This record gives sequence, C-alpha cells and structure tokens, in this order.
Amino acid sequence: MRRLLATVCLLLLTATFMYAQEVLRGAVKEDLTGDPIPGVTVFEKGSSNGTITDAEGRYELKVKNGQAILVFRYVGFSTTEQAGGGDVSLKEDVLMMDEVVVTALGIKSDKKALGYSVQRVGGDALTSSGESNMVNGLNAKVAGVQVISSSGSPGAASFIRIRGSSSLTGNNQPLIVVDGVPIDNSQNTGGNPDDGDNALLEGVSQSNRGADINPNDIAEMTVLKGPAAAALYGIQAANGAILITTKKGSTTGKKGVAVSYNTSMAWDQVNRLPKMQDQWSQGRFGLYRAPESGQSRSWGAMIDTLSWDNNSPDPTNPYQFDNHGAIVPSSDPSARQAVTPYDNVKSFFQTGLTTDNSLALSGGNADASYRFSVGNTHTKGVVPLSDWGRTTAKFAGEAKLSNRLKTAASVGYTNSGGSRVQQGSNTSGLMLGLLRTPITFDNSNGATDPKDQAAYLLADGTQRSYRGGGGYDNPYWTINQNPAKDQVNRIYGFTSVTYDITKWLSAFGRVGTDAYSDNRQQALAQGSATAPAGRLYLEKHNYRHLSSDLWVTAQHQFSEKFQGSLLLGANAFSKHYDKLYTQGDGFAIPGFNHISNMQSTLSRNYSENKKTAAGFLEAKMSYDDWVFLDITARKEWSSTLGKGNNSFFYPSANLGIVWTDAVGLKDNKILPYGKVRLSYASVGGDALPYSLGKYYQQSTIGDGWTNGVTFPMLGTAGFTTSDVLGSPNLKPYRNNTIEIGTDMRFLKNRIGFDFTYYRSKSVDQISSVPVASSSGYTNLILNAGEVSNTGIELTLNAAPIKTKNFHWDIQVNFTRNKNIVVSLPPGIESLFLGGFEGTSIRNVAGQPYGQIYGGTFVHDANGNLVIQDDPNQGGYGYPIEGKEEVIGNPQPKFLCGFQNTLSWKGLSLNILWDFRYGGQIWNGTQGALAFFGKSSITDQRDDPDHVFTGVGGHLDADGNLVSTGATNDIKAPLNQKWFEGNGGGFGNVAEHFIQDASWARLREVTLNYTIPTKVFEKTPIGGVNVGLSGRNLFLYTPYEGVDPETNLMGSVNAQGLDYFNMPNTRSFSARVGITF
Amino acid sequence: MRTLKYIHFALLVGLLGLTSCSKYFGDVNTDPNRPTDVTPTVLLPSAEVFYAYGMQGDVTRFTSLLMNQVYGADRQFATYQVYSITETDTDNWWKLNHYGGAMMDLKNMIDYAKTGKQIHYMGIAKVLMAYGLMCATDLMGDVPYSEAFQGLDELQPKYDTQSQVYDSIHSLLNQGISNLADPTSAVVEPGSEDLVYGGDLGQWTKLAHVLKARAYLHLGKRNPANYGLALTELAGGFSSAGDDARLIFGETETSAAPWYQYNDQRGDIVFESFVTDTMLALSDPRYYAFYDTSAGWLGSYFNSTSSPYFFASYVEQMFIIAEASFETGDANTAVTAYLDGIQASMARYGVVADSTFTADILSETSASLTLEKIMFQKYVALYLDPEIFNDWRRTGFPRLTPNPDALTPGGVIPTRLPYPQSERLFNPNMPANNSITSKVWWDI
Repeated sequence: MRRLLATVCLLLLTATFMYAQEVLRGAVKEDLTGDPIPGVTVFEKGSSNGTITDAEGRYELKVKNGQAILVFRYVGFSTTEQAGGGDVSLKEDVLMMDEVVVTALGIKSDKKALGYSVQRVGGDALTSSGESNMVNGLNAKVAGVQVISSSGSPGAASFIRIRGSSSLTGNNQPLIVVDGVPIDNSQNTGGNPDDGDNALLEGVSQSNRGADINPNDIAEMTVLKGPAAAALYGIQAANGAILITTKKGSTTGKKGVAVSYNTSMAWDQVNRLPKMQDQWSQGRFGLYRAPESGQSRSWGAMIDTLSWDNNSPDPTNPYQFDNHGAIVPSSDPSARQAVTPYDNVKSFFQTGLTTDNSLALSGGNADASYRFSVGNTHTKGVVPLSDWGRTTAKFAGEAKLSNRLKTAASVGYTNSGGSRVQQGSNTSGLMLGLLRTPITFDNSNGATDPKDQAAYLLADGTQRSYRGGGGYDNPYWTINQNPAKDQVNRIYGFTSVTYDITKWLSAFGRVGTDAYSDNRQQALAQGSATAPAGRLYLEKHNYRHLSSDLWVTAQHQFSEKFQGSLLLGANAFSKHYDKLYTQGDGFAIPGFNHISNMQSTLSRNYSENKKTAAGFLEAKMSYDDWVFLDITARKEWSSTLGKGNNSFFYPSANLGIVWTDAVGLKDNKILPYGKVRLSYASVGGDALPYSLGKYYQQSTIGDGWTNGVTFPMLGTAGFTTSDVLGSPNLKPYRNNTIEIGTDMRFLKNRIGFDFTYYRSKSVDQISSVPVASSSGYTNLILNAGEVSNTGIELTLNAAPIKTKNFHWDIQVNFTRNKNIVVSLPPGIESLFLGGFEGTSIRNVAGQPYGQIYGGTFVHDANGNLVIQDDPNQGGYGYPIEGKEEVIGNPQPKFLCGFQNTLSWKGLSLNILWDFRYGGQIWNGTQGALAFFGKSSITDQRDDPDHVFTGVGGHLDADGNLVSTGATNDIKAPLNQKWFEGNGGGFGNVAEHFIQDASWARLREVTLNYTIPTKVFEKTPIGGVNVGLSGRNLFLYTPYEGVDPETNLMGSVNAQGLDYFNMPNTRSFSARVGITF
Repeated sequence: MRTLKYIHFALLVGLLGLTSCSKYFGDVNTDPNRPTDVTPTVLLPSAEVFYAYGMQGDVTRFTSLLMNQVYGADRQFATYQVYSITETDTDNWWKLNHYGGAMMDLKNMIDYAKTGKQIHYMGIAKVLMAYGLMCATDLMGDVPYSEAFQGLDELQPKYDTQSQVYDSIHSLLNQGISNLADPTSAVVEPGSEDLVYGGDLGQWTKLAHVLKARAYLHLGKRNPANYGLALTELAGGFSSAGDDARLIFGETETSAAPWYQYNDQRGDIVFESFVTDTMLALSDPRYYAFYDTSAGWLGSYFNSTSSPYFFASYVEQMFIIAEASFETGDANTAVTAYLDGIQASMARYGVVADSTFTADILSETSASLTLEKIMFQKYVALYLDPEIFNDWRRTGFPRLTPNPDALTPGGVIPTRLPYPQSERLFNPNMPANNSITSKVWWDI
C-alpha cells in the first residue's frame, strides 16, 4: 500500500510530455449492418490520447507512433483494438460487459471495474411509469431500495431508503445528485417551528423536494447503494446516493435541431378504502341522535327502523341538515319515507386527471452540444379542488473551447406547487371528517358540485356538519374554506471546466448550486374545528446551497497490463435554510385571507447554517483488465461539531476480480463471465447544527389538546430553557460497511444474476436522546448507540426468448434487509421517532429499526390473551390492559420486484409486479372508527354472550399474572361499551390494530409501440412512440385499511402509522412521444 | 499508520485553498434562533404561564373530572371518565409544562438571580418553585427535587419522599420570604412583566405564607399540630381578594385561557354534573356563573379567553381558616371564616344570595357547622380548582359517587395521577407502584 502510493506520487512529479507525430484515420461501422457508428470513443491504448467518431463514423487521431494500437469503445458493442488505425467493424456485445455507469463525483466507469454494487434505471423506465415524482419511479426496480409514498394526494412526499436505516434519529435518506451536484430532497415541515415534527401528524402533506425534477429530463439514474460507492461524497451520502444524469444534446447525431415532444394524460382513482358499517345511524345506545345533538358516534338505531319525516318537504323551509327531512323512528306518525344510507366516501372522491407535456430541443457537433427543454405537469387530485403542478425549464450545454479546455453548464428552473389536502389527526383533516360521518348524514346535502355551499354552509352562515358544527369539519367545508396552497420557485445547476494539462494529467473544477423559495399560505376559515376564530398561516421557506469541487486526475500505464489513475480533490459545501412563519388568528373580514385582516399575529423565524470542507483522493489500479482495485480516502471538516472533534477521515477500498478472464473462460459459451467483488468502507457523519450547547428559546405553552399560548403575550416577552441540551464534546458518528458480491452470466448472457451481501454497523450515533425531565431537560444530544444492517440483494436477469424480432426479458429484484438497533444510549429503553402519545414509532434496543410501540393486552407465557377472571376487578370477562411495549414491526421481511418485458418489433409490453412480504402498520383509522361505531368491525356490536378467545387469569396486587391456563368461558358482552373502551382506538390498547401490510401489487403495466420510421420517411417526423400504461392496477393485501403504501408523516424515519391517512390511487395513462 | 499520515498530508494539500478552517467556518454554528443567555425578566412571565396553563389545562381537567365537577363525554375524555388514565396522559404536562417547563426555568432564574444579585427575583422564584413542587407531590406522591434540574450532572434524579418534599417546600418558602424582605435592590427589579403581582413584593410575601398554610393543612392528618401552624401562617396571608395570586389570560386566541381553548377546540367535556345539580337544588346563586343555562355550557367567567387562573386565593384562605379552626376546636372562628369564604366566592362572581340560600346556607352557626359542610362549600367555591382533589382525599368530602362504569379495581375513584411515561422509561428511581388507586403519603 505504502509503496504503491509512493509510486503514484512519484509519477505525478516525474512525468514527461509526449508529442504526437502521425495521424491515424478511419471509419467505424456496425458489423452486422455496415451502418456508420457515431460517438465511438477512439483512444491510443495506454494513454488518454483520444477522440470520438463523427456523424459518419469517421475519426482522426494524432499519435506518436504510426503503429500505435487504437482502442474502439462504444456502449453495447465489444471493445475492439486495432493497430495502425483504418476502418473498423464493431460487433454487438451480447454480454454487455462494457456497460458504463456513473459513479461518485459524476465520473463514468466501466461497470466491470467496480468492486461494489450499483444499479441503473433508464430515464425511459421513469417516464413510462407515469410517476411525476421521480423517487416513486424507482419503486421495485432496484434491489435494496425501498420507496414509500405517503399517499395518493397530489404532490405528496415519498420516503426512500437504501439498505435500511443507519441513523437512530437522523436522516436516513440517500443523497440525490444531479449531474454531479447534490440537490435538496427535504420535506420541509410546515407549522410553528416550535412544534417540530408534530406538525407532520396533522396539517397538509408537503412534497419531498425531489419532486421538482422533471423525469423527462432524466437520462438515467444510478443507485449507489453502499457507503463504499458513496465514500467520495462524504457525510451527506452516508445512506447511499442516487445519481441522476440528465439528458444532453448529442455530439454525434444528425445535423440541425432535434426536437422531441412527449405528452401524456393519466386518470387516477382511489384504489382502496377502509371497510365501514352501513346499518347503524348516528347516535348512542341504539337511539338515533340528530346532528343538532352534536353526537359524534354511529351507535344509533338500525337504519331500517328510521324514516325521514314529513315536516320538511316544504321547499321554503327545508330541514337544514337534510333535504329529505329530519329522521324519526318509522313508528312515528310523521314518518314519511324509509331512510336509505348515504355513501359519503364514494360520492366524495372524483377521478383525478394528470396531464404532462414536455418539449426538448437539442443538437450539437463534435465541439459543442446543447439541450433545452420545457415541461409542465398538472394533477387534479382525487380530492375535489386539490391539485399540484410543476413547470420546468432546463438548459444543458457543453463546449470544447480548445483541445485542452472543455466547459459544461446546466441550469434548471422549476415552479411547482398546488392546493394541498388537509390530513391526519387534524380536526380539519379530510379523511377524519369524512370517515366519521354517519351514514344518516349526507355531507354533500345533495349537491353535486363540490363547490356548492349548500353542502357545508347553513342558512346562518355557520358550518353544516354532522355534529351540528362542532368536533371536526365537513370535508366540503375543508376543501372550500381551508385552502392550503404552496408555490415553489427553484433554480439549480452547475458550471464546470475541464483542462487537460498534459496527456496524462487533467484538472476539473465545478461550482453547483440549488436554491429555492417555498411560499405557503393556509387559511382555516372562521368556524373551522381546528381554529374556530379562523386562522391564517403564512410560511416562507428559503433554501440554498453551494457546492464547489476541484480535482486533478492523473493516469499512467505502468506496463502493458498494469495501469492506474489517481484523483486528488477538494470540496467546499455550504447551505442555508430559513423559515419565516407567521400565524394570524381571528379574521376581521370573513373570507379575506390576508395577514392584514387578522386580529392577532405571531411570528417565528428559524434559520440554519452549515458548512463542510473536504479533501479526497481516489486511486484506481487495474491489472490485465480483470483485476480492479479502487482506494478512496476523504477527510472532512464540519461546522456542526466542536473544535478538535470536527474532522473525520474515512477510507474505502474495493476490489473486483473477473475470475473467468483469469482462468481463460472469457469466450466460454456456458459461463462467459463471472466476477467477485469485495468492498470495505468507513464513513463518518456530523451532528445537526447547534447541537453543542444549552440554549433558551421563546416560550410556546400548551398541552396535548389545545393550540396553547405563545409569547410574547400579555405585553411581555417570555423565554424558557430549551428542552434539548447539547453536548460540547460530540464526535462524529461512524458507519463501517463490508460488502461482497458476485456477478455471473451464463449461456451467452441469456441468464445471469448479481448477488450482494452486506453488513454495516453504525456506531457512536448522534441522537437526541430522551431523558427524565426531572433533570430539567427532555432530551440530550449525545454519542451513543449502534445500528446494524445486514442484507442480501439479488438481481436476476433472464432472456428466455431472444429471436430477431421477439424478445422476452425478465428481471427480478429481490431485497432482504435486517435493520437492527443493536444498542441505545445507556439507560434508554426506547427512542421516540414520531407518532402519538399512545401509539408511536420508536427505536428499541435489540429490535428492528422503527418499531410500533403502544398499549397491549396481557398475554401469558404462551402468547394467549388473558381474560379477566376475577369478578372483583374491573373488566370481568374482558382482556386485561397491559403495559406499553413493542406491538408491531413495520420492516418488511423482503421486497421483490418482478418485471417481464415482451417486445416484438416496435411493440413492447412491460409488466412490473411488486411483492412485499411482512411489515406491519398501526391501523389507527380502524381503531378510531371502531370507537365511533363506523368501522365494519363494529358490525358485531350487540353480542351479549360473547366469549373472548384466550385463557382466564388476572393480575395480583403486585401486578403479576395469575392464570391456570384454562380456556376462557366467561361471557362478556361485545357492544358499544367495549368498542368505546379498549375494543376501540381511543382505549389504552393498540395491539389489536396492528396489521400485516404485505402486498402483491401490479405496480406497472406499460404497452409501448414505436411506429416504424419508414412511415415517416417523407415527413419531418423522426419517430413516433405511443404508450398506454396502468399503475397499481391490482393490489392484494391483508391490510384492512387504505393501500398500505402510505404513511402519516410522509418522508420521515417514523414509518408504519395510519391515522386517517389519505388513500392511494390507481391510474391509467396514455402517452405519445414524437421526435423531429 | 504512516500511510494514513501520507494520506492526511495529501488531503491537506488538496485543501490549500482553505487557508484556515476556523476562518472558513466563522460563526456558522452560532444559533441565530436561540440565545444562550437570558434574564429573569423573561423567565418569570414564562414560568408563571407554564404553571397556569398546565394546571388549569391538563391537571384541572383530570381533577375536575375525578371530582364530579365535569363529565368526560367523548373521545379520549370518555375513556378518562371510566378512570382509565395512564402514564402517557400525564407526560405532556410533566415534561413540557411543569418539570421541564416552569420548574427548570425557576431553577435557572434562581441561579441567574444569584449571579446578578437580583435577590427579589430569587425570592419570587423560590415561592413559585415551592408552589410547583407542592402541586406535583400532591398529585403523584414522591417526586424528584433534591437532585432535580441538574442537567448532565444528574440525568436520573432520585425521588424524594413526600415528607422530604414538604420539608423542601417549607424551606423554599422560608428562604423566599427572607429574600423578598431583603432591602438590597438591584438595577432591574420585578415589574410589569410579573403577570401575577406586577412586581409587588409584599403580595408575593403574603402568597408565600398562604402556600405555607396550605402545606401545613395538607399534612394535618400526619400531625394535627399542623392545623395550628397553618392558622399562625395565615396571620401573614392575604388581606382581601385583592391579594389573590391570579394570572389573567389574554384576549387573543394565542393568549387565551386553557378552558376556553379546550372547549372551543375539543369540546369533549360537558359541565352538567354533580356539582351543578347540587347547587341548583340548593338555590346557590353561583350556579348561573358556573353554568350558562342558555348555552348548556360552562359559564363565561371560566370559559372566556381572559379567564383567570388562581395560584391561591382569599377564598381558599378563608376555607383553610375554617377547616383548621374547626379541627382545632375553634368553631366560632371556623363558622365566621366559612361564611366569609362563601361571601368572598359569591363576590368573585358578582352574585347575590336569594332567601333560600341565605336561610339554608348563609345562616350557618358554630353549633351546626360540620367538616362536611366546610368541605362541600370549599368544593363549590373552588370550582375547577385542582386543590379540591387534595381536600377530597384528605377529608373524604364531599361524598362522591364513583362512575358505575369505572375500570379501576373495585370501581373506586383514583386517588392520584400516574407518574408520566418519560419518568418510567428514563428514570429508574421512579417508584414502581404507579397505580392510580394507591395513595400518597399524607393521604391516610
């Protein structure tokens, strides 16, 4: 190692210049057809002296020796060598061994030369999936990657995780890099900054900012799964990286401007809703209660005993809560017409519509290229009046200013935003109000236009809702009166320069930036449940970062078989985030949503700054094109850690050996390719800004039930000790990963697999750890705890049929990851990640990451439910309430994507199945609806002789279980009281609402047809491609709620909560692409 | 290892552009959002509101529900109404309002006032600390104090026994009284930012004496001599309702009182209850102040944005005198204080007794006065005040009927609130018995 490095350094110092003396010329053709191939890389073997072929496939290269060996390389063709230049024919490469992938820092590399696992997804696969959020387009297509969308609401955030989570409480999502420059993928939490993540339990769902990228601009995405792959990106890529390469103008295509236009339309429908009872009216104890009573629940009379009365058909004075009349028992003399139930849920949702248009102009020649694109996508949601749209413009250009100097630049602009949906535990939450509505109340009041005020306003202007205006909002009120709009303006891009100092030494510099503003306005009209006096939120989020890279690369051919390269570089990164939050309470003029119209206002400003600086090197060596060794090292300094602890060093090494070449199997028919990979990496991570000390903050005071009060109040300012205490001596956390893998191809590459096993350990976690608040603080930031990930990834490729015109390709992506919280800081039993006081997502030592934690029933040692057999204790004959503990595991046992592609001439059919086995969700929606007598589990609501399955037993005075183990035979009524207590979601027990969220899902079906170019020979049209696709067409799951691909809090570590989550959608789309 | 050194060297060379790291970082990691230093002037109002909001909010909702003054009708409060109250239900209050809120700030205020020589702020902070400590121990039993609020130095404070806690309460109040009497005045003295007394040190001193009397009263059953001590303390207590230690919430939505906010935003509690039914039967004029019959809801005195929270009041003082005198055999003083207490309570709501109430209640004599009568009238006078939960546990009055659907063993009314979940999880010193039907030390 030491000698090797010394040699490389020596080379850097003692290099001599070489001078070209002769010119070699020729043309490169396709072996089979004889067509010229433009864009072939031609270089002198063992040097960086090279060029590429022009549109006619011709090349010219100056060399110092006329018999120099030239290497011809082009993706999809076998690399060919020829001495002395001249014409060359390239053969199609059946093995695809020369696949080039983008690796860290945007450097291209032969996939063959990598000692770690990477996987590519082409841009076409993203666009044809019809997903407007590019993160979702990765679903089921890459082994090791898990994507969870929060809902089917327009613009809703998606969470992405590669190889599990490694940080106890910090960020666990991968870095997203566009053309070598990181971009921000945050889901910026709305609401008062003092409330932190709590705002995610309610309010509206925001986007992850990766949704601002137009998938039509993406040429390909490469997923760098392990930290080995990402070692050169440093801290930010501790959870892997997704490298996006955007489309560029062709340097070799035909002359003139290439125009490409794509348009598509998609229709979305809600794909799954919770099951509800349809027999019982509003009320309690079997008696109907009218909306005026304010009664929240549906434990009333059976609907077939109720009628609308005859007092209300008077059109001049209809009953304000129902056009059909007030509800009376059918035996009442005023009874007129039997009540029929309303299906509020079905009638509320509509078919959503997404339109997407994208136009790109591109062109170029050997010296320069450009691409300019504009795109617009607009989604009208399944929830009336909700929408989300994105307009993008992007320019990318490259130019060769001289033989030595190249520049490139790209700038993208995005405007995105829409009208969001109120969700979650929010009393203005849409699903909350919608699903709780009794079947005897028509939210729409017969109106068919969702904007019709008849649905949500009474004659006196107050809210029309099933609780007589109290409790929570009529969904039609929410969508009309509580609009939440956001508007993002974003610009991102880079400019770079490459200078070839000598034949073997080049320098590269790049400055990239990403900046956006996100302006949000949300109004809660006067009379809304959440803020009866009315409230207005104004939020302005500003984000910007600047990332600068500089590096030099040297390469050298040591001998005929032995070559190496060295990269030495530095990076400086700085980011700034600022949030200005203003809340106004009490509208003076109803309906005028402006801050000047509010009776009181409060304002908060939160800003965050961070800088890092790093130096790095990468040394690559290869021997005879079958042994590849790559060593990286990075030293990074971070502003968020204290002096003396603020730098960390991380090395990685990886080795790839194509052993089939070594043992002479290179052209073997059965096993032409076999490679083993071995990699080790250690990366470090820093703390969040301002984690080092003790602070005070402006006081906001409340409780779990009310909005609370906030200083300044009563004419004075108020400050309180921050609940979180920092530690001045925080040190970086560490993640060490080892990865081994193999890539094998059989039978001329008709079948092959790529297998990876990895194990990672993240130690010295930096977390905000809860402490007993009798210490004065609720949390302490410290280094402690360990998380491990062990897993396998298997990608299987097969081509069962491969004839000239017909192809059948299969790809299977299998992911299994065991993500264990090995240890927590001393004294800590569990760490809260998110959720409610009763049911939360927590990290528990020795358990898988992010467990569902909540109230249990007492079970005996055999796991049987214990039923109270002591008549002197409460709840005789019912299950006994136990402690709060782990009740569910949201981590799936495995994920599997199964893709079949059938193509015949221009026609191709792609079918992607997505299987998820295991992983649980807390169905809090069902729990709450059981309390309200709305869930279908309350169909069995009057069983006086119910016997709970379990064993008899009770707790003694010390809380110890006393049980003979005899099967319970005590009768205990299963009725309203049970569901309003521990049988429902507002009792203290949550374990019976933990459900399996496995699924089998037909994620994508795409039918594409490329019309033969012959058809357009005499027109300016270059080609036409049409496609039909469907998403989520089929879903099987044992989960009893909405589509389990959902999450209350969106793109955060706390996954596995469903509390009135917005449903997901299925969609059908049609697409046409035309090139000129 | 030498290889690593080479690599470090190489990386440093790569960073030549960055002449100095500390210059590059500058003050990037200085938090622009939060100060690292504050003054008692901003800590005091915050601590007062933390208490007032937490006690009138979470705590009073529980105690009033257990004491049949309100009824939990819906959602989570329907669960509490069957006495299913768990450690998660007290977590927010303990963590955010009480220990992690007001009390920690008062500790910092005491420390700060020491260095700044602001002895009067220190006196106020000690009185308020004693107040909070008594609230916590009365609700739960043994609580941390002697090792609490130490941050990193003691993350798992031990739980002092209730008897030790009461010693600490008296000691804090004694120190507070002496600090408040200190003639040294500082550059910045308590003033209008004090939302309870506007910086009036004399009134703070009176409050300290009333709190001492309350503390003695609570331990009356442990040692009857405490009744006499309570009466002695009250010589320095409130002179009139003008001395009431109350915090009046604001007019705006973001400074509104907890009951108003709860009723407006949640509304799962109803106010037709044992107390209102009984008052109606007794023709108690305060009924109409407590219960707005036209709205069928809590009366506006309690249900306004700017409703007050009483830390202690002249009304309570009168009933302390009545009870302590009664217990020490001085029925004459007792009946006078008893009637004064009722009159002061009616005056608070601006109501006048009718002939029935005057005849039945306001004509009480020393001969017919009973402890039950005193405690019932205190129960009415301190409507929605958490102190009545202490009174009921100490004296058994008023006689309350438990909810027939109670889930507690034996169907009894809980006798304490559970320790919060965060203490069970993160402080092994928390007593193992966290049953809500167990009793605190003074409850014998």
